[in-house]
Amino acid sequence: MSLICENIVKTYSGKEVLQDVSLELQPGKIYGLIGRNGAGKTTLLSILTAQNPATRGSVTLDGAPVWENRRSLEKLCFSRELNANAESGLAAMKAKEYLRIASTYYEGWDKALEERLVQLFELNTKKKMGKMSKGMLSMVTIIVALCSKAPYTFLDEPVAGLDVVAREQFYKLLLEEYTESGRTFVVSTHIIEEAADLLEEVIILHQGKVLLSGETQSFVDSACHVSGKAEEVDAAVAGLEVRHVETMGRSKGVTVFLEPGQKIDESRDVSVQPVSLQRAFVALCGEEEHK
Amino acid sequence: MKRNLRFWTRYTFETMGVELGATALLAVLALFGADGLDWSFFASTVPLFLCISAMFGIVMINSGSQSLYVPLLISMGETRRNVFWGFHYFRALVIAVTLALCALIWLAAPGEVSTAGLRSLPTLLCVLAAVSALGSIMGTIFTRWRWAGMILIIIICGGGGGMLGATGAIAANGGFSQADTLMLVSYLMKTPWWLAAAALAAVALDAAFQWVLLRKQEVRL
Amino acid sequence: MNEQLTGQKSIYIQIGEMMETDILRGILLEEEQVPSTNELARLYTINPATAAKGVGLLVDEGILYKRRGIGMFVSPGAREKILAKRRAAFAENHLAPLLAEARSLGISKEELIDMIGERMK
Repeated sequence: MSLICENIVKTYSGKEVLQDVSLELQPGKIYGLIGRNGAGKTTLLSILTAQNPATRGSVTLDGAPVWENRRSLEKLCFSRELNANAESGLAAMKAKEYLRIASTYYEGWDKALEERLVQLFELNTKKKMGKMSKGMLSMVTIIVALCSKAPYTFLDEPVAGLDVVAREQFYKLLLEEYTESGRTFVVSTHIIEEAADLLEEVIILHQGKVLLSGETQSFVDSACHVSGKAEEVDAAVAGLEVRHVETMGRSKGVTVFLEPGQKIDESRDVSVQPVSLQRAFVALCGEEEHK
Repeated sequence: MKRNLRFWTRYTFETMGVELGATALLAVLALFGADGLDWSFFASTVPLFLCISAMFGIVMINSGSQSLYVPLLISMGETRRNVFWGFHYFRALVIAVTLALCALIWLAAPGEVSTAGLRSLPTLLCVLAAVSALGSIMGTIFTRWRWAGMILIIIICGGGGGMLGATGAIAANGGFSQADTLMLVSYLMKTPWWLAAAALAAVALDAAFQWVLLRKQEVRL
Repeated sequence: MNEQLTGQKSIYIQIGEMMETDILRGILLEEEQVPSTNELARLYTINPATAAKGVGLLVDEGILYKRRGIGMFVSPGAREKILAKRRAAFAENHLAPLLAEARSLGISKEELIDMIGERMK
């Protein structure tokens, strides 16, 4: 029962925010959706869950279109980043009310888990959402996402505003829920390195295009950091995709991405080190390719 | 669908609470100015208060709920079709309950007041339907095109407030006298064809307007 | 287990190595059940698939075996297998970097042998 989107294009006032995005999300995995601000992550998640219409392209769940299809939609949960500023209508709503509406709309809502999480986060649900801090609002979105029990659950910036202890609580809760239920989770986050170990697959969105979609481990393994004397480094990485060059005096450090079959010339006097997901992402999306 | 109905029904009762509260307030005001408490007096004024409060309530709550509940429900995975129907179900329910209450009061009332009241039900239905449709259109305009909406909202608030205020004033000044009421009711008893047509047109226009906008509605909470 | 994960090696490899070390240290005994992939995932806050990959490596090497419906167990002779494996890799993992470092420091073969001799007294 895969969620597939094909050739999604989304245009806002003449500008293509998403260009030809095609993805397959398989059941029972934790996906990470990473990308810079403005890359189109929230737009993509909205389109995948039929909350916003795509300009072109289709989204299907198990073959059936998702748009206006209650049977597909009840298997999806998109827990948005809540923005209860004064302008939005949500500001005057109590968190309790928001959760009540969510519990009405998500079949299989886990009331026991909701109570447990409210207690764990020490959340005052009687408070109006306009008066809540960013962290508290994130807690609300986390509760909705986890308690919805939806087979495909999407979280947009779930840890925004949470302190490090609360973030670690969230990762543990996510993992616990995942191992118990085998639901598919798609987590869009800026805090890449913290979440990296949880993500089985990663989708990198850059300027509206999917740069990469696959196993996190393979992606990270395909990148490495090569450093040493500048000439040696250049020779060692000749012909490879080089990103993120740093130099200091005669020394040079580069991040390279290897295609299958490519290798670094190890006869050269260079240090080769593995690269973290975050560094790989920054190298890929942070700047233009150096030749 | 069941889920949808559950949500909107609860919302309806919350709105009805406001409506009944406003009505009760007016009734209390009326009591102060009335000479003697008799059933026909009650039966002639309260239903009208109910309808006016309903109109006021529907228009006020319409605009707010549209900008909030429509994107909210879509963000919870509801289809736009269901949100559309849910919204109309809610308005129809409020009107139905209001008119049912009016009917009950009139049924229990003595003679003329009763028949007069019951005969005016169709007219009231048209008026309430038209007002709610217009209110909804105004509400949508407000949500989408803030500036035009602002002007309209001021007019509505002015109008609605004025209506409520005038009613309150009349109520405090001894309420509608029997004569006043009979005159008003005689107008209401005839349901002119143009009123019915206008109501139908308003409802249809509003529905079409909603439908077209909903299709393209984007969620931006 | 309970060591911290580093960013120096793939996580699944570290999981496998930690389990091997535990077997060598007698924390996990032969024919004993090892922690499940879910338990490992929860302990390190990593994806269960990663834990499974690490455990899978050990199963492939015969260090662990699977009992259907129950879980993974330490194979008889696992200690010996691990020792043999690590001995074989000793030259690659430890000697090669040592010799490279010695080379870059200009330490001769004789000096090196002397140093080793001193240490092993």
